Amino acid sequence: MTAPTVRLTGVGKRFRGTVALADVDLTLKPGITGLLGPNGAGKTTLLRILATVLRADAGSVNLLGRDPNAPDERTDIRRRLGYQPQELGFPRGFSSFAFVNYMAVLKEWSEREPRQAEVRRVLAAVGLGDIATKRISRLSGGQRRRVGLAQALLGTPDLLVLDEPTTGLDPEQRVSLRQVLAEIATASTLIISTHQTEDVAALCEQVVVLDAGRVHFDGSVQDLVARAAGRVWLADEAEPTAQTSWRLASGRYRNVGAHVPSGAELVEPTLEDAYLLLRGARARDDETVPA
Amino acid sequence: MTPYHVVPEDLHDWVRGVSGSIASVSVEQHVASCRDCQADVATLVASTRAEAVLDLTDVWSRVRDEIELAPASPVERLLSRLGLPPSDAALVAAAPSLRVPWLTALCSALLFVAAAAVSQSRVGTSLFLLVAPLVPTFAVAMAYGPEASGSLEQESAVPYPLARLVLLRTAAVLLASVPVVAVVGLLLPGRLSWLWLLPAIGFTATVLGLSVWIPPVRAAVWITLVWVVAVSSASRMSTAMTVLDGRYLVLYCLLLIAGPTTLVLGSRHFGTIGRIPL
Repeated sequence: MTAPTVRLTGVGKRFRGTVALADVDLTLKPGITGLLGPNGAGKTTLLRILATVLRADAGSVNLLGRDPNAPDERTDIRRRLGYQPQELGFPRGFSSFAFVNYMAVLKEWSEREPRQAEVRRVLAAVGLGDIATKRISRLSGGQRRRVGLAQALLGTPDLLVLDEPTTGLDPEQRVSLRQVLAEIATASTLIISTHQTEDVAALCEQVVVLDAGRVHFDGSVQDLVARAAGRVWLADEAEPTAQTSWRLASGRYRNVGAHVPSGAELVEPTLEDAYLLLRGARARDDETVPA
Repeated sequence: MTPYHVVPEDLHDWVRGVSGSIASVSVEQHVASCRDCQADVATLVASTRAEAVLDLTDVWSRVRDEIELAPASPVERLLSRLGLPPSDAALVAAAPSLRVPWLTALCSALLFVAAAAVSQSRVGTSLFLLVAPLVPTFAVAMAYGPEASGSLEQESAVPYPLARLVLLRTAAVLLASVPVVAVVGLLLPGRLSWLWLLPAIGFTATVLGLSVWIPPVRAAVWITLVWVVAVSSASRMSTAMTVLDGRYLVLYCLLLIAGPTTLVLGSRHFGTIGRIPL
């Protein structure tokens, strides 16, 4: 049995009185974990805590067997950590190569030759090897995200924290990125935040659904999908009692809901269906909470 | 078959084409009729080719280095010559404050101050005292922090100590800005020509300390407001030079010690500097 590499217990974080995270328990092992949730759910705050750039106000955090609040242990964690933040910023005038090389210096690759070989390796891994000398300001949004990913991959980290790595990527780039991440995940722990349920379905063994700063689901992708079994059906009309309905290209309606009409044509649920169902259940719970 | 064979070193030189002309002819004649030496030649040719391939890989790698990595900037080369390790020099030179637009703004401010100083009037002295300490303060504030470096969040998740990075950049910015302002200050009479350096360095240190909690440019703005009030009050009550009295000089020295200490301890405690934008 593989030992956990990330262990969060009762973690909380507030910003000026607003609760960003509340009582979060989370255990991660090597492999890929997907973090799903609506905007403002606390995903970025959670990833920043895992990336050691933010301290939790409450609870305990253990990353790679070390405490990020202890300065020396935090440095040890950072030596084995790769982080791609949601908002990427780059110094002006830098090329992809120069920026990743700069980040490699900060990651203690002090010897010039091995450092540059590593920079070339990660740029090639994200498909930027041929345009490494192009200024970042002239790259597309998807290419910039890949520069951010390249610096996170330096040194093949044991813990890789990626905040929306697939945003702005075209389908081909996303498939290519999945291949890169799947390869790293054989030995490392990856946690990725995304709004793309198909990325989570394709990549992740574990999925965590966060909403309003709390964990609403933590388990395998199959377990989450199984929750929607028997709750997704096709009909010629949008079902008023369904939680969500949308028209398919075939002209029929895909309905997702807790109450299935008798005789409905049930279909296999997807992760997206299960996520929507979970979100709907949470909204109903909120409505029934007494004032 | 011949009982004699070419000495291995001579055979090696011949294969590599570095034998002398007489030795070359001699070896060639022998190899043409000796199967043992022909076999040795075949082995040597194969290994020489492998060496050539390795050399080509190395050459190609160096060519890519030249193309892909921009040559070190003049600032980076200067810092390396001053004894800073090359990796530290590269990090310092990446500070946005060392770029042309900032230097242009600095020169404009200095021209303004110089004009005031040359006028030798009381207003000119007050103006110099008001502006000169703030020039290095803002220069340092613009060298790091969320406003200066969009990559602060990535830089905060690396093992290299952020406080060290900030202090290195601060030293570089002070080295770049203080001498220029100091030369202008020499135009002024008496102790003002050098005493202004103490508030300048004290304020710079305060920016470093405050940046643990607030962005450095905001810290510099707060310091500016306090300094403007202090200098104008002193000017109204007696003379602007009051802000350089002994008791205030002690205060600037205390700030000089407290600022970097707070930065080092604060960044060690929080694991980052400033506040990463939410």
